[in-house]
Amino acid sequence: MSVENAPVVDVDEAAIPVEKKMYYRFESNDKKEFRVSELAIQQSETLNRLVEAMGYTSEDVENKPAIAIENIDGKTLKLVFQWCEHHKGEAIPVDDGSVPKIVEIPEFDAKLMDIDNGLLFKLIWAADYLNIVQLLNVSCKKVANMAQGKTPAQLRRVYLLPSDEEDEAAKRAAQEAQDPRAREVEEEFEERKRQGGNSFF
Amino acid sequence: MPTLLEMPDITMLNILEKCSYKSVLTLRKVCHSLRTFVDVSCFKTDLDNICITIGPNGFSVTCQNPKPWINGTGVAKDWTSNDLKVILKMVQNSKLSSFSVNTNPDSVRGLDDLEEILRNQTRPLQTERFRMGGSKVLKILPYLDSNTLKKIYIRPTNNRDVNQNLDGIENVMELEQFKHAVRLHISCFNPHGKLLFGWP
Repeated sequence: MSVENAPVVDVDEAAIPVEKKMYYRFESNDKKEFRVSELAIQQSETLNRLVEAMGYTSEDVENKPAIAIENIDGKTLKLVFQWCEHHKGEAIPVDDGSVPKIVEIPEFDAKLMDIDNGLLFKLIWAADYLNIVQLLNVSCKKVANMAQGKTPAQLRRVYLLPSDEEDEAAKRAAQEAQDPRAREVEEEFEERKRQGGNSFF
Repeated sequence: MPTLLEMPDITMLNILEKCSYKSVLTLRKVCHSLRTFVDVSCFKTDLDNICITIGPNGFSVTCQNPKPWINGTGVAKDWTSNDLKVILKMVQNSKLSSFSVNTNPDSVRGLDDLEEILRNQTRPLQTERFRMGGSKVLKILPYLDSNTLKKIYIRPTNNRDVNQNLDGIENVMELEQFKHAVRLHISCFNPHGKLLFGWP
């Protein structure tokens, strides 16, 4: 009985890889195109649902326009898809409430995230938008590690944050720019200064 | 270019949960936005062990995460009740393995302040072990989570307390925290006889 069944199983196994070699085309907001394997896409819940809903065949992928990802640029999307291709087929971690989760950053991810902070924040933003759980975990871990052993002033520089004073000065400047009366008063003051009078008050 | 402040809230919580408690306290000092975010958000920290000693000039606090041999121990002196509130608020969503309070008979005000903070917490403090130095157990014990608390240790703070009666020990026996605990250690006090027989 088992001998009879064996060839049937072999045929099925041979058929699976052909079916799985499906690629999709995506386009970033700066019109850069990426070809990503179906297995890599499974890492992103958002994209996985999208392609499932679209139900493209291999011909559709080639004939129809690439799927546009409107709010992520090419540089960031390249990193995202590099990560997805490297980690394709891996199980997606489930949040079971056992926080704080212990996250180790693998060597590949550490190299991939060896980028400037602006791009790293864009990568986190993209991982959140595309719902790539493990990429979000490792990138957040990287940001958390950056804070280790730093003073508030150092953190301000690391995270590109303004201090409260700078923040307030910027707010005041913006408010003044919006308030025409304040600008008029300032212009009047400048005019009087130019005329040589310093008796504004 | 996005900055840390422009991150979605869920992502920001993800980052905070991966930061050590020391980093969270530092981040809190970076700017008003981050301070407000840390203060109003619910997130878990790696803080595992808190020991509070009430002194004449404020609170001395020792904090550890689960790997103190790697990450060291955080020690703070002369903290005000506001500082203490920050750290106790931060651990509201975490489970501590140990929470210790060492009272000072000459600084009753400090214990009252601590009681006030614990009373105003959104949820009771979760700790597996509670160690009390001093006899005023009722000021702290009712505000600990009874489902988490397993072991209670009570000892005197100084020789004056030895062989004194424990304040309101009958009331302690009525507490859920007492009923659910699996171990109780009382050193050198003169506990009420009923307690010894009443212990399950």
